[in-house]
Amino acid sequence: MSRLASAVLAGLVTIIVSAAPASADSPSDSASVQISQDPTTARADIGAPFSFTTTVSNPGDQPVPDLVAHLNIVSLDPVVTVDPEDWSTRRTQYLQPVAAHGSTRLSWSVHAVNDGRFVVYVALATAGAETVTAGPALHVVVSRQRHLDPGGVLPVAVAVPVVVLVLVIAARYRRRRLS
Amino acid sequence: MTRLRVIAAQELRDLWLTGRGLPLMLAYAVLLSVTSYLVASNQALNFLEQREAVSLTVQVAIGVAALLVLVTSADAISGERERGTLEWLLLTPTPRWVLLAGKGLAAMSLWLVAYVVSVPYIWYLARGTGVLGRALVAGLCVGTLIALFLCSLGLAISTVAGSNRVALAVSFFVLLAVFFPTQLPASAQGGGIGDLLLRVDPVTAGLQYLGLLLITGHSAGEDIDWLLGPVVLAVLAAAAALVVGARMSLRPGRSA
Repeated sequence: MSRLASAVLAGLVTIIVSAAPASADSPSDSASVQISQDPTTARADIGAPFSFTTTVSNPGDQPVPDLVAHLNIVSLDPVVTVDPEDWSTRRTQYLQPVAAHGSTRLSWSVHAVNDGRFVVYVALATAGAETVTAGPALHVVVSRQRHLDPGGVLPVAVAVPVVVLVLVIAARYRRRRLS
Repeated sequence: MTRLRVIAAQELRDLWLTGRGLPLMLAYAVLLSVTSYLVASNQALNFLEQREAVSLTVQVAIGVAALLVLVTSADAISGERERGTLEWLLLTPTPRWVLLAGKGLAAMSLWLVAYVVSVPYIWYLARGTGVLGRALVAGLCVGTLIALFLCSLGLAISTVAGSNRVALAVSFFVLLAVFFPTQLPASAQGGGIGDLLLRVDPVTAGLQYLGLLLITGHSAGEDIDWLLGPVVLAVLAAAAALVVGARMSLRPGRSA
C-alpha cells in the first residue's frame, strides 16, 4: 500500500513539475512566442528579389522583450552552397518588446542568388533563453534565367569594338591605296 | 618646340596610321567589352554594387591602357636600335631628349585614345549613380599620372637596355612589381610599412584613390594625399627619362 502511495505521489509530482512554468520569475524567452509566415512558398528567377513577412505573436500574459529575429537560408541541393549574406543585406532584426497577446510583423527582402530549391526561415532568440525558436519554412524555388543582355550593356559592348574595327580597316585601306 | 612637334607628329603618324596603335585599341576595346559584360552580369545578380562596377571598369581601363603605354615606350628606342633605324634618327639635327620626348608623347597618345575608347563603357555602367562625372575626371587624372610614370620608365629602360627583348622583359617585371601591392591581403596592408608601400607605389595609390572616390563616396579633396606618390614619381620618372634620353647612343652604355 505504501508502495502504491509512493508511486501515486511520484506521479503527481512529475505532472505538477512538467505543467508548471520553468520559473515564475524567469525572463520570458523566445520559446513563449509563436511565429507565422506569409507566404509559405515562393518562386523567383535568379537575381530577382522577393519578400515575405513574419508575424511574431505573444499569446502569453507577459510582454516579451529583447527578441532578436535572424533570417537563414538552407539549400536542399547538396551541391549548391549558400552564402546567406549574399541573399540579404539585413538578416538580423532587433524587435521592440512584444506586448501580451500582441504581435509584431517583420518584413524581409531577399535576393535569389543561386538557382535550386531552398528553405528560408526566421529564428528567434533572446539573451537568456536556452532554446532558439525557428519559424515555419518558406520553400523557395529559384530558376536560372540566362540573360543575353545583362543590364542592357550588349549594344555598347558590341558597338565600340565594331567602331574601332572599322577604323582599323579604314587605316589599312588607306595605307594600301597610298602604297 | 617646333622640333618636338615635328618629331611627335612623325611618331604619332607611325603609331596610328601605319603602326600598331589601332590594332592595340581593337584588342583593348574587346577586353573592355568582355569586362563590362561580366560586370553587368554580376551587377544584375546584385553581387556588385553599381558604383563598384564603375570603379572596377575604370581601374581595368587604366591598368590595361598603362600596360599598352609601357610596352610601346619600352620598344621606342631599343626597337629602333634592333631594326637598324636608330642611326637615322640620331643623325637628325635634334637634341636627343627631344627625340625621346616625341616618342613619349606618341606613347602617351595611346593612353588618351584608350581612355576615349573606355568612356562609353564607363558612361553606360555609371548611369544613374551620380558618379559619372567624377569617374571620368578622376579616371583621366589618375590614369594620366600612372601612364606618364610607366611611359617614362619604359623609355628610360628602352634607352639603356642592350636589346629589345631585355627592355620588354625588364618593363614587364617593373609592371608586375608596381601592380604587386594591389594584390596584398588586407592584413598586410595595415601598419606603417604596409601603408607607406601602398602610398609610394603610384599604381596602388592611384587605384586606391579612385576606389575611395567612387565606391566609398569621399570628396575629391578628402583623400588627395593618396595622389602625392603618383605625382612625385611621375615627375621624377619623366625627368629621369629625359636625362637618360639625352645620353642616348647607338649602342647602349656608350656615350654618343
